Amino acid sequence: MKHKCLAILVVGAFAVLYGPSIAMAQLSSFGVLGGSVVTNTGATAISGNLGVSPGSAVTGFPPGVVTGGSIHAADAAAAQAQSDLTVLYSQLAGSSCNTNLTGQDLGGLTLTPGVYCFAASAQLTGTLTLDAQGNPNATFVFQIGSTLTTASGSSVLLINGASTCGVAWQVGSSATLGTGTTFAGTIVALTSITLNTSSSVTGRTLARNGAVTLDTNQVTFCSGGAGLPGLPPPAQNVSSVPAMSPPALAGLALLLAGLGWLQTRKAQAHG
Amino acid sequence: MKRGVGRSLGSSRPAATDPRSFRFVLIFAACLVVAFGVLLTPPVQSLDFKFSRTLVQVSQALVLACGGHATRDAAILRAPGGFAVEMRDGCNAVNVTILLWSAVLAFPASLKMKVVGLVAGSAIVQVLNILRFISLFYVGQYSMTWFDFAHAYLWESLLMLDTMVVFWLWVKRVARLGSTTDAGV
Repeated sequence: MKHKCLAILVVGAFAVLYGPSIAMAQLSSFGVLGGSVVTNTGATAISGNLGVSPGSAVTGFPPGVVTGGSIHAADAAAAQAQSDLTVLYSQLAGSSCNTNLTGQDLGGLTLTPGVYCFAASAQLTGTLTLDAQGNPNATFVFQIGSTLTTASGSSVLLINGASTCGVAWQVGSSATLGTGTTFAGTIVALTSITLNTSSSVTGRTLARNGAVTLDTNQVTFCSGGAGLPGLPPPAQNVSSVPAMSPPALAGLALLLAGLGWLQTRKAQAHG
Repeated sequence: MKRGVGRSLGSSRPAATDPRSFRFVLIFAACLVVAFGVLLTPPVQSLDFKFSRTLVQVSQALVLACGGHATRDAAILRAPGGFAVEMRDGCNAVNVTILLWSAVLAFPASLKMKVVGLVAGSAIVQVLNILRFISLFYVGQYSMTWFDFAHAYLWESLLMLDTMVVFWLWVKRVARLGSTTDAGV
């Protein structure tokens, strides 16, 4: 009975310590996030964390490399990032559309800050120019009902202070970047994201339910600006501060054991 | 039923062979193995991660309340100048708390005193850890040399000292109140 009470109290203390979580963006540290699997072929370079959840398979690293982060396969960080991604996806999908571009090819357009929507698929053939008009915190949000596809060699060009951190692509199904595409912004896809050979993204590739498929790509963190609501720019110069190094923990364990041992003996001697 | 120290230890058996001392060490080691094992399980890792984020939220609130500036991104506390500290695995002092808990649970004391030790000890360690986190946040903005020193040596030593002192004071209190028992957990 006594032991049961103690166990209940210990569990209770844990419950108090590990209280309710605060929902906010953990995503900013992820360059690539998949829902089922992340697959790579060739010398892909990812900056920031690479994660997958609820799936757990990450293949092709190496030869792919992750710099400035680590691989999170079905761990707590990836799960939390997926949870945050769901929130972000809903936020982006819920933004009020300023301009409906349904049926238009993005290639050749020059767009100013705002929310642009496509009822179904979106296509980029050639160069899309995003003009921040001198506002580094300007945001460009693209709501795409189904697929986003870019033709080979397409690009997104940012001018007049536009920041890659301020560009978001909310894709209703899957995104496919053609060979050699130079893309900018954070892709938030409901299903999957495919980066064909030698395409690059300055931003993030975040897939909720499906796979992220890579082939000799570069996914580089965005920089500058204030980012998007719920998705700030990745922190630079981040220092992790463990409370204690493993040797110090081992030392403390020995000290506590020694102190307990001595005090127990002392209690006996005085008894 | 409480078993008093005097009654149970009234024999002439030498202290060096006191089974309670061995028992303390055994229970302490067992608690460590079990607790760190549980800590590594995915559900608890998830809780651990959320706990870190909560601590960073508390730290940010304290910084703001004192007139400072800080933004938060999950478990990262960021200064306007770009410097940031992150509370990752092992930064939330849960491992230190586990050590303290194991020692408290292993030491022969009454249930009430164990609860007092667990709760008060955890609170003290966590408060100190938040102070550590905030101080490193500011020191890092001033000088990375000092940051490295404070992080690697100063605060590590202070946390060790704090844990030892907390445990020692608790043991003293247990002895003063005469609430030791033969049993650990």
